[in-house]
Amino acid sequence: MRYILCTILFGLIACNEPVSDKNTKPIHDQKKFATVKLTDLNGQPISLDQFKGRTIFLNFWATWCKPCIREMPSIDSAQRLLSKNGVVFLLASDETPEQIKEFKEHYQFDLNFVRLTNMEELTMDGLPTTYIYNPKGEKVFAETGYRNWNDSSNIKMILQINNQK
Amino acid sequence: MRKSISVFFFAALLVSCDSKPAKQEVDITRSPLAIESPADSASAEPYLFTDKNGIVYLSWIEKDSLNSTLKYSSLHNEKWSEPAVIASGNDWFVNWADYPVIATDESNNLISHFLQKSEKGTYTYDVKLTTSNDQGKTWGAPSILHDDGKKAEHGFVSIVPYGENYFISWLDGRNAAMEGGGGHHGGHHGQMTIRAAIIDKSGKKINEWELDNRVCDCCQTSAAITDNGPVVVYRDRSDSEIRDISIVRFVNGQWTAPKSIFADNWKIEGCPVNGPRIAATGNNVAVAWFSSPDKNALVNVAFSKDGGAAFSDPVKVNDDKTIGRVDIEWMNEKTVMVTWMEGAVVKATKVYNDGKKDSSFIVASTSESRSSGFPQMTKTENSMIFAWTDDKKKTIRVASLFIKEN
Repeated sequence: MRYILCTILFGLIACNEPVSDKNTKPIHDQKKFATVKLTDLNGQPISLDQFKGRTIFLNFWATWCKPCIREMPSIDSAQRLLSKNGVVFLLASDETPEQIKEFKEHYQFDLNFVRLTNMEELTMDGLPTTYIYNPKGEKVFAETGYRNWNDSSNIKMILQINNQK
Repeated sequence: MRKSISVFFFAALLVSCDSKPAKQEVDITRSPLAIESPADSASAEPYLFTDKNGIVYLSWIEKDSLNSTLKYSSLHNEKWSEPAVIASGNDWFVNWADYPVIATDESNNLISHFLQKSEKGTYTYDVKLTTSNDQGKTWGAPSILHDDGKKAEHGFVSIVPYGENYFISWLDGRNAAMEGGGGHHGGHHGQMTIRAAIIDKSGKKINEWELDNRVCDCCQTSAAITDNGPVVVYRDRSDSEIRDISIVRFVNGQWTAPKSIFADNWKIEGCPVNGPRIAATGNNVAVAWFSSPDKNALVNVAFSKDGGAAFSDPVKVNDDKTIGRVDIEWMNEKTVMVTWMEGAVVKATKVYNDGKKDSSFIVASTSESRSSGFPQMTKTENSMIFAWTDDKKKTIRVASLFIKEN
Protein backbone atom coordinates (compact mmCIF):
# COMPACT_ATOMS: atom_id res chain seq x y z
CA MET A 1 0.00 0.00 0.00
CA ARG A 2 1.12 3.48 -0.75
CA TYR A 3 1.27 4.49 2.88
CA ILE A 4 3.65 1.82 4.05
CA LEU A 5 6.66 4.05 3.77
CA CYS A 6 4.76 6.60 5.75
CA THR A 7 4.29 4.04 8.51
CA ILE A 8 7.99 3.33 8.56
CA LEU A 9 8.81 7.00 8.67
CA PHE A 10 6.26 7.55 11.40
CA GLY A 11 8.18 4.96 13.33
CA LEU A 12 11.20 7.22 13.17
CA ILE A 13 9.32 9.92 15.00
CA ALA A 14 9.76 9.31 18.69
CA CYS A 15 6.30 9.62 20.21
CA ASN A 16 7.10 10.72 23.69
CA GLU A 17 10.75 11.48 23.53
CA PRO A 18 12.23 14.95 23.87
CA VAL A 19 11.60 17.00 20.80
CA SER A 20 14.48 17.69 18.49
CA ASP A 21 14.93 18.89 14.93
CA LYS A 22 15.17 15.35 13.63
CA ASN A 23 11.59 14.79 14.68
CA THR A 24 10.21 17.52 12.52
CA LYS A 25 11.65 16.71 9.13
CA PRO A 26 9.28 16.20 6.22
CA ILE A 27 7.47 12.91 5.90
CA HIS A 28 8.19 12.77 2.21
CA ASP A 29 5.89 10.06 1.01
CA GLN A 30 2.78 11.96 2.02
CA LYS A 31 1.71 14.23 -0.77
CA LYS A 32 1.24 17.73 0.44
CA PHE A 33 -2.32 18.05 1.73
CA ALA A 34 -3.58 15.67 -0.95
CA THR A 35 -4.80 12.91 1.30
CA VAL A 36 -6.77 14.92 3.83
CA LYS A 37 -10.30 15.86 2.75
CA LEU A 38 -12.02 18.40 4.98
CA THR A 39 -15.20 20.42 4.95
CA ASP A 40 -16.55 23.04 7.27
CA LEU A 41 -19.66 22.26 9.30
CA ASN A 42 -21.83 23.53 6.46
CA GLY A 43 -20.33 21.08 4.02
CA GLN A 44 -18.07 23.52 2.19
CA PRO A 45 -14.72 22.00 1.21
CA ILE A 46 -11.65 23.25 3.03
CA SER A 47 -8.39 23.06 1.14
CA LEU A 48 -5.29 23.08 3.29
CA ASP A 49 -3.59 24.89 0.40
CA GLN A 50 -5.31 28.05 1.53
CA PHE A 51 -3.09 28.01 4.64
CA LYS A 52 0.17 27.63 2.74
CA GLY A 53 2.87 29.68 4.34
CA ARG A 54 1.50 28.92 7.77
CA THR A 55 1.99 26.00 10.13
CA ILE A 56 -1.09 23.78 10.33
CA PHE A 57 -1.90 21.81 13.46
CA LEU A 58 -4.48 19.23 12.35
CA ASN A 59 -5.96 17.10 15.10
CA PHE A 60 -8.28 14.15 14.39
CA TRP A 61 -10.79 13.36 17.10
CA ALA A 62 -14.29 12.03 17.82
CA THR A 63 -17.04 13.11 20.17
CA TRP A 64 -16.86 9.75 21.95
CA CYS A 65 -13.06 9.59 22.22
CA LYS A 66 -12.09 10.32 25.81
CA PRO A 67 -8.36 10.90 25.26
CA CYS A 68 -9.30 13.26 22.43
CA ILE A 69 -11.48 15.31 24.75
CA ARG A 70 -8.87 15.12 27.48
CA GLU A 71 -6.25 16.79 25.28
CA MET A 72 -8.58 19.48 23.91
CA PRO A 73 -8.06 21.97 26.76
CA SER A 74 -4.32 21.77 26.08
CA ILE A 75 -4.91 22.35 22.36
CA ASP A 76 -7.10 25.30 23.26
CA SER A 77 -4.26 26.72 25.38
CA ALA A 78 -1.64 26.03 22.71
CA GLN A 79 -3.81 27.79 20.17
CA ARG A 80 -4.04 30.88 22.35
CA LEU A 81 -0.27 30.84 22.77
CA LEU A 82 0.57 30.26 19.13
CA SER A 83 -2.12 32.04 17.13
CA LYS A 84 0.00 35.20 17.19
CA ASN A 85 2.67 33.16 15.40
CA GLY A 86 0.24 32.37 12.60
CA VAL A 87 -0.25 28.71 13.48
CA VAL A 88 -3.57 27.36 12.20
CA PHE A 89 -5.43 24.91 14.42
CA LEU A 90 -8.03 22.58 12.89
CA LEU A 91 -9.85 19.77 14.73
CA ALA A 92 -11.35 17.23 12.35
CA SER A 93 -13.95 14.56 13.13
CA ASP A 94 -15.64 12.24 10.64
CA GLU A 95 -18.93 12.41 12.47
CA THR A 96 -21.95 14.29 11.17
CA PRO A 97 -21.97 18.09 11.24
CA GLU A 98 -24.88 17.87 13.70
CA GLN A 99 -22.87 15.72 16.09
CA ILE A 100 -19.89 18.05 15.85
CA LYS A 101 -22.06 21.15 16.37
CA GLU A 102 -23.72 19.55 19.38
CA PHE A 103 -20.31 18.73 20.84
CA LYS A 104 -19.06 22.26 20.17
CA GLU A 105 -22.05 23.73 21.94
CA HIS A 106 -21.75 21.34 24.85
CA TYR A 107 -18.04 21.73 25.54
CA GLN A 108 -17.57 25.37 24.57
CA PHE A 109 -13.98 24.98 23.41
CA ASP A 110 -12.80 27.94 21.35
CA LEU A 111 -11.51 25.67 18.60
CA ASN A 112 -12.03 25.42 14.88
CA PHE A 113 -13.97 22.18 14.43
CA VAL A 114 -14.17 20.79 10.91
CA ARG A 115 -15.34 17.59 9.27
CA LEU A 116 -13.11 14.87 7.84
CA THR A 117 -14.59 12.98 4.90
CA ASN A 118 -11.92 10.35 4.20
CA MET A 119 -10.84 8.98 7.54
CA GLU A 120 -10.23 5.42 6.34
CA GLU A 121 -7.87 6.60 3.59
CA LEU A 122 -5.59 8.21 6.14
CA THR A 123 -4.88 4.82 7.78
CA MET A 124 -4.57 6.14 11.29
CA ASP A 125 -3.91 3.71 14.13
CA GLY A 126 -6.48 5.36 16.35
CA LEU A 127 -7.64 8.62 17.90
CA PRO A 128 -6.55 11.23 18.70
CA THR A 129 -4.08 11.58 15.85
CA THR A 130 -2.26 14.82 15.13
CA TYR A 131 -0.56 15.94 11.93
CA ILE A 132 1.54 19.09 11.79
CA TYR A 133 2.45 20.71 8.46
CA ASN A 134 5.25 23.25 8.26
CA PRO A 135 4.80 26.55 6.39
CA LYS A 136 6.14 24.86 3.24
CA GLY A 137 3.17 22.51 3.33
CA GLU A 138 5.23 19.49 4.33
CA LYS A 139 3.82 17.09 6.87
CA VAL A 140 6.54 16.92 9.49
CA PHE A 141 4.72 15.36 12.42
CA ALA A 142 2.21 12.53 12.71
CA GLU A 143 1.33 10.77 15.92
CA THR A 144 -1.54 8.82 17.45
CA GLY A 145 -2.28 9.19 21.14
CA TYR A 146 -2.80 11.76 23.84
CA ARG A 147 -0.37 14.63 24.39
CA ASN A 148 -0.48 17.63 26.64
CA TRP A 149 -0.08 20.15 23.85
CA ASN A 150 0.32 23.00 26.27
CA ASP A 151 3.52 21.47 27.61
CA SER A 152 6.56 23.64 26.95
CA SER A 153 8.35 20.94 24.94
CA ASN A 154 5.38 20.63 22.60
CA ILE A 155 5.03 24.40 22.23
CA LYS A 156 8.75 24.53 21.44
CA MET A 157 8.35 21.80 18.82
CA ILE A 158 5.51 23.64 17.08
CA LEU A 159 7.53 26.86 17.10
CA GLN A 160 10.48 25.00 15.56
CA ILE A 161 8.18 23.71 12.83
CA ASN A 162 6.84 27.20 12.36
CA ASN A 163 10.39 28.37 11.62
CA GLN A 164 10.76 25.88 8.73
CA LYS A 165 10.03 28.46 6.05
CA MET B 1 -30.94 -23.51 4.87
CA ARG B 2 -30.28 -25.26 1.64
CA LYS B 3 -28.93 -22.93 -0.96
CA SER B 4 -29.48 -23.15 -4.62
CA ILE B 5 -26.22 -21.52 -5.52
CA SER B 6 -26.69 -21.25 -9.23
CA VAL B 7 -30.05 -19.50 -8.84
CA PHE B 8 -28.62 -17.34 -6.11
CA PHE B 9 -25.71 -16.06 -8.14
CA PHE B 10 -27.84 -15.62 -11.22
CA ALA B 11 -30.18 -13.51 -9.11
CA ALA B 12 -27.21 -11.66 -7.67
CA LEU B 13 -26.03 -10.74 -11.12
CA LEU B 14 -29.46 -9.50 -12.08
CA VAL B 15 -30.00 -7.34 -9.03
CA SER B 16 -26.55 -5.89 -8.78
CA CYS B 17 -27.09 -2.67 -10.63
CA ASP B 18 -23.68 -1.28 -9.68
CA SER B 19 -21.70 -4.42 -10.17
CA LYS B 20 -19.42 -4.90 -13.12
CA PRO B 21 -20.33 -7.51 -15.72
CA ALA B 22 -19.00 -10.89 -14.74
CA LYS B 23 -15.77 -11.74 -16.46
CA GLN B 24 -15.12 -15.14 -17.85
CA GLU B 25 -12.88 -17.48 -15.94
CA VAL B 26 -13.44 -15.68 -12.67
CA ASP B 27 -12.58 -17.80 -9.67
CA ILE B 28 -15.92 -17.63 -7.90
CA THR B 29 -14.34 -18.72 -4.64
CA ARG B 30 -12.27 -15.52 -4.60
CA SER B 31 -14.66 -13.10 -6.30
CA PRO B 32 -17.61 -12.01 -4.19
CA LEU B 33 -20.66 -10.95 -6.15
CA ALA B 34 -22.66 -7.91 -5.19
CA ILE B 35 -26.20 -8.83 -4.22
CA GLU B 36 -29.18 -6.67 -3.54
CA SER B 37 -29.08 -4.89 -0.20
CA PRO B 38 -32.30 -4.62 1.79
CA ALA B 39 -30.96 -1.33 3.20
CA ASP B 40 -31.27 0.80 0.13
CA SER B 41 -31.65 4.24 1.72
CA ALA B 42 -29.16 6.24 3.82
CA SER B 43 -27.99 3.62 6.22
CA ALA B 44 -24.96 2.51 8.17
CA GLU B 45 -23.73 0.26 10.96
CA PRO B 46 -24.49 -3.14 9.40
CA TYR B 47 -24.31 -6.33 11.41
CA LEU B 48 -24.68 -9.89 10.13
CA PHE B 49 -25.76 -13.00 11.98
CA THR B 50 -26.55 -16.54 10.83
CA ASP B 51 -28.83 -18.66 12.98
CA LYS B 52 -28.61 -22.41 13.53
CA ASN B 53 -30.98 -22.98 10.60
CA GLY B 54 -28.64 -21.10 8.29
CA ILE B 55 -30.85 -18.04 7.94
CA VAL B 56 -28.89 -14.82 7.59
CA TYR B 57 -29.98 -11.67 9.42
CA LEU B 58 -28.77 -8.18 8.56
CA SER B 59 -29.41 -5.27 10.93
CA TRP B 60 -28.59 -1.62 10.34
CA ILE B 61 -29.43 1.92 11.36
CA GLU B 62 -31.22 4.39 9.15
CA LYS B 63 -30.88 8.00 10.20
CA ASP B 64 -32.75 11.12 9.21
CA SER B 65 -32.49 14.59 10.64
CA LEU B 66 -34.61 13.67 13.66
CA ASN B 67 -34.62 9.95 14.24
CA SER B 68 -32.48 6.87 14.21
CA THR B 69 -34.22 3.64 13.25
CA LEU B 70 -32.86 0.15 13.80
CA LYS B 71 -34.05 -2.23 11.09
CA TYR B 72 -33.40 -5.79 10.05
CA SER B 73 -34.03 -8.14 7.20
CA SER B 74 -33.48 -11.87 6.78
CA LEU B 75 -32.42 -13.83 3.77
CA HIS B 76 -35.03 -16.42 2.76
CA ASN B 77 -34.64 -18.47 -0.38
CA GLU B 78 -31.98 -16.09 -1.66
CA LYS B 79 -34.23 -13.08 -1.15
CA TRP B 80 -34.17 -10.48 1.59
CA SER B 81 -37.38 -10.06 3.55
CA GLU B 82 -39.07 -6.68 3.68
CA PRO B 83 -37.06 -4.55 6.15
CA ALA B 84 -38.72 -4.46 9.56
CA VAL B 85 -38.33 -1.88 12.30
CA ILE B 86 -36.87 -3.10 15.58
CA ALA B 87 -36.86 0.27 17.37
CA SER B 88 -36.60 3.98 16.71
CA GLY B 89 -35.67 7.06 18.71
CA ASN B 90 -34.46 10.64 18.64
CA ASP B 91 -32.06 10.30 21.57
CA TRP B 92 -29.81 7.50 20.42
CA PHE B 93 -26.06 7.44 20.63
CA VAL B 94 -25.02 6.54 17.10
CA ASN B 95 -21.37 5.78 16.50
CA TRP B 96 -19.95 3.94 13.50
CA ALA B 97 -17.71 1.86 15.76
CA ASP B 98 -20.40 0.86 18.24
CA TYR B 99 -23.05 -0.79 16.11
CA PRO B 100 -26.22 -2.60 17.20
CA VAL B 101 -26.27 -6.37 16.86
CA ILE B 102 -29.00 -8.92 16.31
CA ALA B 103 -29.17 -12.59 17.27
CA THR B 104 -31.75 -15.34 17.25
CA ASP B 105 -32.18 -18.90 18.33
CA GLU B 106 -33.43 -21.61 16.01
CA SER B 107 -37.08 -20.93 16.82
CA ASN B 108 -39.06 -17.69 16.85
CA ASN B 109 -37.00 -15.61 19.24
CA LEU B 110 -34.83 -12.64 18.37
CA ILE B 111 -32.84 -10.14 20.39
CA SER B 112 -31.23 -6.86 19.44
CA HIS B 113 -29.85 -3.76 21.08
CA PHE B 114 -29.23 -0.07 20.54
CA LEU B 115 -27.61 2.73 22.52
CA GLN B 116 -29.75 5.43 24.08
CA LYS B 117 -28.38 8.56 25.70
CA SER B 118 -28.85 8.67 29.46
CA GLU B 119 -29.74 12.32 29.14
CA LYS B 120 -30.23 14.40 26.06
CA GLY B 121 -27.20 16.48 25.19
CA THR B 122 -24.76 14.35 27.16
CA TYR B 123 -22.18 11.79 26.17
CA THR B 124 -23.36 9.02 28.43
CA TYR B 125 -25.58 6.25 27.17
CA ASP B 126 -27.23 2.97 28.07
CA VAL B 127 -27.49 -0.36 26.31
CA LYS B 128 -31.13 -0.99 25.53
CA LEU B 129 -32.16 -4.58 24.81
CA THR B 130 -35.27 -5.55 22.98
CA THR B 131 -36.60 -9.02 22.21
CA SER B 132 -39.15 -10.58 19.92
CA ASN B 133 -40.87 -13.91 20.39
CA ASP B 134 -42.76 -13.95 17.10
CA GLN B 135 -40.00 -14.00 14.47
CA GLY B 136 -39.51 -10.26 14.66
CA LYS B 137 -43.08 -9.25 13.91
CA THR B 138 -43.34 -7.38 17.21
CA TRP B 139 -40.64 -6.27 19.61
CA GLY B 140 -40.96 -5.82 23.35
CA ALA B 141 -40.40 -2.59 25.27
CA PRO B 142 -36.63 -1.99 25.43
CA SER B 143 -34.97 -2.52 28.80
CA ILE B 144 -31.58 -1.42 30.09
CA LEU B 145 -29.06 -4.26 30.07
CA HIS B 146 -27.03 -3.00 33.03
CA ASP B 147 -28.44 -2.06 36.41
CA ASP B 148 -25.75 0.31 37.74
CA GLY B 149 -28.00 3.33 37.30
CA LYS B 150 -24.96 5.44 36.44
CA LYS B 151 -24.81 8.07 33.76
CA ALA B 152 -21.85 6.50 32.04
CA GLU B 153 -20.78 4.94 28.77
CA HIS B 154 -22.11 1.46 28.09
CA GLY B 155 -21.71 -0.17 24.72
CA PHE B 156 -19.65 -2.36 22.38
CA VAL B 157 -22.10 -5.21 22.86
CA SER B 158 -21.76 -8.79 21.63
CA ILE B 159 -24.69 -11.20 21.71
CA VAL B 160 -24.59 -14.93 20.95
CA PRO B 161 -27.18 -17.64 21.54
CA TYR B 162 -26.29 -19.76 24.57
CA GLY B 163 -28.43 -22.85 25.08
CA GLU B 164 -31.95 -21.65 25.64
CA ASN B 165 -30.72 -18.14 26.38
CA TYR B 166 -28.36 -15.45 25.10
CA PHE B 167 -24.85 -14.64 26.26
CA ILE B 168 -23.95 -10.96 26.18
CA SER B 169 -20.69 -9.07 26.77
CA TRP B 170 -20.29 -5.30 26.85
CA LEU B 171 -18.09 -2.44 27.97
CA ASP B 172 -19.41 -0.79 31.10
CA GLY B 173 -18.20 2.61 32.27
CA ARG B 174 -19.88 2.54 35.68
CA ASN B 175 -16.53 2.92 37.43
CA ALA B 176 -15.39 5.62 35.02
CA ALA B 177 -18.30 7.95 35.74
CA MET B 178 -18.16 10.56 38.48
CA GLU B 179 -21.27 10.83 40.58
CA GLY B 180 -23.56 13.14 38.66
CA GLY B 181 -21.04 12.94 35.83
CA GLY B 182 -21.54 13.29 32.15
CA GLY B 183 -21.07 17.01 32.13
CA HIS B 184 -18.34 19.25 30.86
CA HIS B 185 -14.91 17.70 30.73
CA GLY B 186 -16.10 14.30 31.36
CA GLY B 187 -16.14 12.93 34.81
CA HIS B 188 -14.11 9.97 33.61
CA HIS B 189 -11.95 9.23 36.60
CA GLY B 190 -12.17 5.45 36.89
CA GLN B 191 -11.61 2.60 34.53
CA MET B 192 -13.70 1.08 31.81
CA THR B 193 -14.79 -2.47 32.68
CA ILE B 194 -16.03 -5.41 30.66
CA ARG B 195 -19.05 -7.31 31.89
CA ALA B 196 -21.08 -10.29 30.75
CA ALA B 197 -24.58 -11.56 31.38
CA ILE B 198 -26.95 -14.34 30.46
CA ILE B 199 -30.32 -13.11 29.29
CA ASP B 200 -33.38 -15.23 28.67
CA LYS B 201 -35.63 -15.03 25.63
CA SER B 202 -37.78 -12.35 27.21
CA GLY B 203 -34.79 -10.15 27.99
CA LYS B 204 -34.67 -11.01 31.69
CA LYS B 205 -31.20 -11.20 33.19
CA ILE B 206 -30.30 -14.57 34.70
CA ASN B 207 -26.71 -13.94 35.72
CA GLU B 208 -24.07 -11.19 35.43
CA TRP B 209 -20.32 -10.86 35.99
CA GLU B 210 -17.52 -8.34 35.78
CA LEU B 211 -14.85 -9.94 33.59
CA ASP B 212 -12.06 -7.34 33.82
CA ASN B 213 -11.90 -4.07 35.70
CA ARG B 214 -9.57 -2.16 33.37
CA VAL B 215 -9.97 -2.45 29.62
CA CYS B 216 -9.63 -0.26 26.56
CA ASP B 217 -12.45 2.31 26.43
CA CYS B 218 -13.34 2.27 22.79
CA CYS B 219 -12.96 -1.17 21.25
CA GLN B 220 -15.57 -3.80 20.50
CA THR B 221 -15.98 -6.93 22.60
CA SER B 222 -16.48 -10.29 20.92
CA ALA B 223 -17.99 -13.47 22.35
CA ALA B 224 -18.40 -17.07 21.24
CA ILE B 225 -19.62 -20.32 22.73
CA THR B 226 -17.18 -23.24 22.79
CA ASP B 227 -17.85 -26.79 23.91
CA ASN B 228 -16.40 -25.74 27.26
CA GLY B 229 -18.59 -22.63 27.59
CA PRO B 230 -18.62 -18.93 26.71
CA VAL B 231 -15.40 -17.09 25.86
CA VAL B 232 -14.91 -13.36 25.45
CA VAL B 233 -12.06 -11.46 23.78
CA TYR B 234 -11.43 -7.75 24.17
CA ARG B 235 -8.70 -5.15 24.04
CA ASP B 236 -7.07 -5.04 27.43
CA ARG B 237 -5.35 -2.03 29.00
CA SER B 238 -2.34 -2.31 31.26
CA ASP B 239 -1.15 0.33 33.70
CA SER B 240 1.50 1.28 31.15
CA GLU B 241 -1.09 1.61 28.34
CA ILE B 242 -0.26 -1.65 26.58
CA ARG B 243 -3.45 -2.52 24.75
CA ASP B 244 -3.17 -6.14 23.61
CA ILE B 245 -5.98 -8.65 23.21
CA SER B 246 -7.07 -10.75 26.18
CA ILE B 247 -9.43 -13.69 26.56
CA VAL B 248 -11.54 -14.84 29.48
CA ARG B 249 -13.28 -18.22 29.58
CA PHE B 250 -16.22 -19.53 31.58
CA VAL B 251 -15.04 -22.91 32.81
CA ASN B 252 -16.79 -25.04 35.42
CA GLY B 253 -18.94 -22.15 36.55
CA GLN B 254 -16.04 -19.73 36.99
CA TRP B 255 -14.43 -17.10 34.83
CA THR B 256 -10.74 -17.54 34.19
CA ALA B 257 -8.36 -14.65 34.77
CA PRO B 258 -7.68 -12.50 31.69
CA LYS B 259 -4.96 -14.01 29.53
CA SER B 260 -3.23 -12.38 26.60
CA ILE B 261 -3.79 -14.00 23.19
CA PHE B 262 -0.38 -12.73 22.08
CA ALA B 263 2.00 -10.11 23.45
CA ASP B 264 2.01 -7.54 20.67
CA ASN B 265 3.06 -4.95 23.26
CA TRP B 266 1.18 -2.20 21.48
CA LYS B 267 1.40 0.91 23.60
CA ILE B 268 -1.14 3.59 22.77
CA GLU B 269 -2.57 6.32 24.95
CA GLY B 270 -5.57 6.76 22.73
CA CYS B 271 -8.57 5.05 21.18
CA PRO B 272 -7.61 2.29 18.72
CA VAL B 273 -11.34 1.85 17.94
CA ASN B 274 -10.47 -1.67 16.84
CA GLY B 275 -11.76 -4.61 18.81
CA PRO B 276 -10.94 -8.27 18.15
CA ARG B 277 -13.36 -10.83 16.71
CA ILE B 278 -13.65 -14.42 17.81
CA ALA B 279 -15.27 -17.45 16.18
CA ALA B 280 -15.67 -20.93 17.59
CA THR B 281 -16.68 -24.32 16.29
CA GLY B 282 -16.61 -26.91 19.05
CA ASN B 283 -13.40 -26.17 20.91
CA ASN B 284 -11.66 -24.83 17.82
CA VAL B 285 -11.34 -21.12 18.37
CA ALA B 286 -9.96 -18.45 16.07
CA VAL B 287 -9.32 -14.82 16.94
CA ALA B 288 -8.51 -11.96 14.57
CA TRP B 289 -7.25 -8.61 15.77
CA PHE B 290 -5.54 -5.38 14.81
CA SER B 291 -2.38 -4.14 16.45
CA SER B 292 0.27 -1.59 15.67
CA PRO B 293 3.38 -2.20 17.76
CA ASP B 294 6.20 0.15 16.81
CA LYS B 295 3.78 1.78 14.36
CA ASN B 296 3.74 -1.41 12.32
CA ALA B 297 0.03 -1.87 11.70
CA LEU B 298 -1.02 -5.48 11.25
CA VAL B 299 -3.93 -7.88 11.41
CA ASN B 300 -3.21 -11.18 13.12
CA VAL B 301 -5.09 -14.45 13.37
CA ALA B 302 -4.41 -17.06 16.05
CA PHE B 303 -5.95 -20.47 16.64
CA SER B 304 -6.79 -22.54 19.68
CA LYS B 305 -7.78 -26.20 19.74
CA ASP B 306 -8.72 -26.27 23.41
CA GLY B 307 -11.49 -23.75 23.69
CA GLY B 308 -9.21 -20.73 24.01
CA ALA B 309 -6.92 -21.99 26.79
CA ALA B 310 -3.83 -21.79 24.56
CA PHE B 311 -3.25 -20.13 21.20
CA SER B 312 -0.89 -20.72 18.31
CA ASP B 313 1.57 -18.09 17.19
CA PRO B 314 -0.30 -15.49 15.17
CA VAL B 315 -0.48 -15.43 11.39
CA LYS B 316 -0.21 -11.95 9.88
CA VAL B 317 -2.75 -11.54 7.09
CA ASN B 318 -2.59 -7.95 5.85
CA ASP B 319 -0.61 -7.10 2.73
CA ASP B 320 -0.13 -3.37 3.23
CA LYS B 321 -0.92 -0.64 5.73
CA THR B 322 -4.09 -1.76 7.48
CA ILE B 323 -6.63 -0.04 9.67
CA GLY B 324 -7.90 -3.35 11.06
CA ARG B 325 -11.68 -3.51 11.57
CA VAL B 326 -11.59 -7.27 11.40
CA ASP B 327 -14.12 -10.06 11.21
CA ILE B 328 -13.60 -13.81 11.24
CA GLU B 329 -15.71 -16.90 10.58
CA TRP B 330 -14.99 -20.60 10.44
CA MET B 331 -15.52 -22.11 6.98
CA ASN B 332 -14.84 -25.67 8.17
CA GLU B 333 -12.99 -27.23 11.09
CA LYS B 334 -9.59 -26.25 9.72
CA THR B 335 -10.17 -23.01 7.86
CA VAL B 336 -11.32 -19.52 8.72
CA MET B 337 -12.08 -16.56 6.52
CA VAL B 338 -10.92 -13.23 7.86
CA THR B 339 -11.74 -9.73 6.63
CA TRP B 340 -9.95 -6.48 7.31
CA MET B 341 -9.48 -3.04 5.80
CA GLU B 342 -6.49 -1.53 4.04
CA GLY B 343 -7.31 2.13 3.71
CA ALA B 344 -10.99 2.14 2.75
CA VAL B 345 -10.78 -1.18 0.90
CA VAL B 346 -12.18 -4.38 2.39
CA LYS B 347 -9.97 -7.42 1.93
CA ALA B 348 -10.39 -11.09 2.82
CA THR B 349 -8.47 -14.33 2.84
CA LYS B 350 -8.56 -17.88 4.09
CA VAL B 351 -6.29 -18.84 6.97
CA TYR B 352 -5.71 -22.46 7.95
CA ASN B 353 -5.21 -23.68 11.47
CA ASP B 354 -1.80 -25.07 10.52
CA GLY B 355 -0.63 -21.48 10.03
CA LYS B 356 -0.88 -21.36 6.26
CA LYS B 357 -2.92 -18.77 4.42
CA ASP B 358 -4.12 -18.00 0.92
CA SER B 359 -3.35 -14.79 -0.89
CA SER B 360 -5.88 -12.06 -0.16
CA PHE B 361 -8.66 -10.81 -2.40
CA ILE B 362 -10.71 -7.66 -2.45
CA VAL B 363 -14.34 -7.90 -1.40
CA ALA B 364 -16.21 -6.66 -4.49
CA SER B 365 -14.40 -4.41 -6.90
CA THR B 366 -12.11 -1.77 -5.45
CA SER B 367 -14.52 1.10 -5.96
CA GLU B 368 -17.45 -0.88 -4.58
CA SER B 369 -15.62 -2.23 -1.58
CA ARG B 370 -14.59 1.15 -0.22
CA SER B 371 -16.00 1.14 3.25
CA SER B 372 -16.54 3.36 6.19
CA GLY B 373 -17.33 1.81 9.55
CA PHE B 374 -16.86 -1.86 10.30
CA PRO B 375 -17.39 -4.43 7.54
CA GLN B 376 -19.25 -7.55 8.64
CA MET B 377 -19.20 -11.17 7.52
CA THR B 378 -21.21 -14.30 8.18
CA LYS B 379 -21.34 -17.83 6.79
CA THR B 380 -24.20 -19.77 5.26
CA GLU B 381 -24.02 -23.36 4.16
CA ASN B 382 -22.32 -22.60 0.87
CA SER B 383 -21.37 -18.95 0.93
CA MET B 384 -19.87 -16.14 2.90
CA ILE B 385 -21.98 -12.99 3.10
CA PHE B 386 -20.27 -9.60 3.47
CA ALA B 387 -21.86 -6.26 4.39
CA TRP B 388 -20.29 -2.85 4.64
CA THR B 389 -21.18 0.83 4.54
CA ASP B 390 -20.48 2.35 1.15
CA ASP B 391 -17.93 5.08 1.71
CA LYS B 392 -19.45 7.42 -0.86
CA LYS B 393 -23.15 6.63 -1.02
CA LYS B 394 -23.55 6.10 2.74
CA THR B 395 -25.64 3.04 2.26
CA ILE B 396 -25.06 -0.62 2.93
CA ARG B 397 -23.68 -2.94 0.32
CA VAL B 398 -23.88 -6.71 0.46
CA ALA B 399 -21.89 -9.32 -1.40
CA SER B 400 -21.81 -13.09 -1.46
CA LEU B 401 -18.90 -15.44 -2.03
CA PHE B 402 -19.35 -19.05 -3.04
CA ILE B 403 -17.23 -21.30 -0.87
CA LYS B 404 -16.06 -24.64 -2.06
CA GLU B 405 -15.79 -27.25 0.64
CA ASN B 406 -12.55 -29.18 0.27
